[in-house]
Amino acid sequence: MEMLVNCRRYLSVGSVKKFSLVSGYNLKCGLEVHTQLDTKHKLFSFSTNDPFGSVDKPNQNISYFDAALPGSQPILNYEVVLQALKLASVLGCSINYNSQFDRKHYFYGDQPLGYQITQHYSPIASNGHLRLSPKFDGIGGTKDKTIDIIQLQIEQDTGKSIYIENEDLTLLDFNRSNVPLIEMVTKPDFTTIEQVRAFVKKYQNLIKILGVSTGELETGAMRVDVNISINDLPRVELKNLPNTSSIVNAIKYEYNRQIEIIHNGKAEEELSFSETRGWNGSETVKLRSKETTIDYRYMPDSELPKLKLAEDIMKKVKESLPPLPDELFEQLTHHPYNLSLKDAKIFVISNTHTINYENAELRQYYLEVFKRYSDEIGAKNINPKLPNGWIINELIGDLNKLDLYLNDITPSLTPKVFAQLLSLIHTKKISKTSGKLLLFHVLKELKDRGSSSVPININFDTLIEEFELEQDTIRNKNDLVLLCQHIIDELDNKKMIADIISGKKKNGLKFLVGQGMRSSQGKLDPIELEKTFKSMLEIKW
Amino acid sequence: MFTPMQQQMSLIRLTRIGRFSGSLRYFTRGLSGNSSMPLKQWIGSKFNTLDEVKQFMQQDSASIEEYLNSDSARTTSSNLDISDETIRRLLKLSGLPTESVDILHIKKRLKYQMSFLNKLQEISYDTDKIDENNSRILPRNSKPLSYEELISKIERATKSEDLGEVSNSWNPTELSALSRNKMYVLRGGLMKDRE
Repeated sequence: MEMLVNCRRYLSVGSVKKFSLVSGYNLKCGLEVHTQLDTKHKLFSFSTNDPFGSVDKPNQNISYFDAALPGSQPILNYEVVLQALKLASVLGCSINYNSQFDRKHYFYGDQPLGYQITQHYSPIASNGHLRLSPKFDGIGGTKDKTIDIIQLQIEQDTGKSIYIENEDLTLLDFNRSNVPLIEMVTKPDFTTIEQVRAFVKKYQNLIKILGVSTGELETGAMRVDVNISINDLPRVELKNLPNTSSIVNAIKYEYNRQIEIIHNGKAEEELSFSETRGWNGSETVKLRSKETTIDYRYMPDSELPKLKLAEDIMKKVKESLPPLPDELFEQLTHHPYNLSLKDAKIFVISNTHTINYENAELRQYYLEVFKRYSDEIGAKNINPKLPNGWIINELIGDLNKLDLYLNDITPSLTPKVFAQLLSLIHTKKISKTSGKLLLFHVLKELKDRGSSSVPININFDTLIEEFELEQDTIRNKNDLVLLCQHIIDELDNKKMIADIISGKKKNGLKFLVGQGMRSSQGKLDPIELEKTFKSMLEIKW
Repeated sequence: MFTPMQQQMSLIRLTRIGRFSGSLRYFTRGLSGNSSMPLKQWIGSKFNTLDEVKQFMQQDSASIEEYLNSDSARTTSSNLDISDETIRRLLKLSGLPTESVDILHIKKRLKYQMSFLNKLQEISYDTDKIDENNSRILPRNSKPLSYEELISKIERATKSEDLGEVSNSWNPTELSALSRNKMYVLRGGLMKDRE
């Protein structure tokens, strides 16, 4: 009965927005992810691998082999092997030291050879896993979730086809033909949509950080197919999922659709066999039944030797890997950096906004600045919020405003110089406002000089003097009191002062501090000003 | 005509799995299925000299021709059951038309071929003990690749104009009868479910 009641809430299969799993209907998903490798050359030829960049220049980057001209033969690009081993390593896979390539036959216009070269019988890696944590991956609950990976296999991408319906013909571009792919297949270990979303995101970040792929779903550099099964009924494969929201919405829709079928007593009729369905943006639609799946007639490729690897190869592959996201999050969210996870992500994960810097480059800069600042001030005295805020908010903000790239400014604004600026603020030699002005001034100067110019020597002491920015112009406490009294007198508003004192209008105090900053042209420390006002007016709150 | 060296090289490429000779006359001794010499001994490393090949070829062999012309082959093939649907499916898999074809004729020939394949499959041999590294044309006992060699191979990789790998070094669609906007043209959709 409970199941029936729960089910009724989901009778409208279109209601993917108000989604939650229904008790009694267990979701089970597995993923099949195809990742285009970001190698210089293609998989079995050395023509340029740039399918997205050459999208408007059809058949530009193709060799005789890519076009399957008779007599042409495959030659393995070993960069693909290295990329595959890196990925296999971070996914904790068992490496196959004697893998092979096989032919998968099917006739399709975008497959000029008549077969795809893949690794069917003996793939390069298998039995891996990726762990999702509630802390870093937002999967909810308190326990980690491990998704097992069945295998990684190297294979070719196909060409692109444009179907001209009214002429019943297809235009073919083979720029993408023979581009290297890694197919990764997981076990059906996903039991919630959050886990699927988190896995896709985490896998995307991993392949970006490893430099294996751009990981872009939108350009097709990463393609995700979802196998979904409710209550262990035969699985349905969902395809054509061009972005994360499509993946999530297609699963939601399919879950609700199958529940409705089960509820209507039609499971035997409609869900007792596997099928493949596509996502059209609002619903899943049948593409083909598994029973009509063609026989691919796999056979070992007779033109490619076995791929034999030395047993100690993985040790060196591991040594060549960059730090991985989870390790970096651990490091950055703990002492001495104490960044929030949100801020730590800025130094680890790239997104569409990160155009002025590379994450690894920014992270290196931040860590170096932090170290220099810590050396200058003393590890015990540091304020971690200072380097964190000044790099995340001020520096990145100014780079965006000025349309500058981090690597253009670091030869002049070295971590040492940036740390000097932080020390000046830390020791209150200049106010934060003056610090912001100085930083912007320096960056503007670098922008005006152009990125190709030789590094300049930045001397903040000279600039402070030149622009009279030294904060300590009111060294005497009495002078500060006199200034505050002058501001209160000038205001001449007894009611407002009374409201500030009583706490009725707390913002009024900010107004007074603002007046003080204005009269000192930003050179005073706003905290000192606030303290002085509070003390003079005997504010208790 | 082949030069003696080419002839020798092509022979040397033969491996001891018992590849067919040019006339398809000889096959492995194990074909009869009751040979005293198990087939596994015949799957070995490649031939290295012409003498080795000659010696191999002088050994007793079963004749394919004799088998195919035998009554046994005819009886076996006529007993095979292959449906019209299977024939159509095979044609489809091969990318061949399925309409206006002589299904009966194809069926007869396929049965004949299958009886031969069945005969081959009757041979029993111990698959566990076969070193598959010997069973390919390409050398399969190559030295395992070290990390340094892998990196070196990557660094040495260059494009070859002889293989058309340099972008814009040749015009791919020039070779096709039909092209549009530098793209190949395929008539009749994507060959999917072609009739």
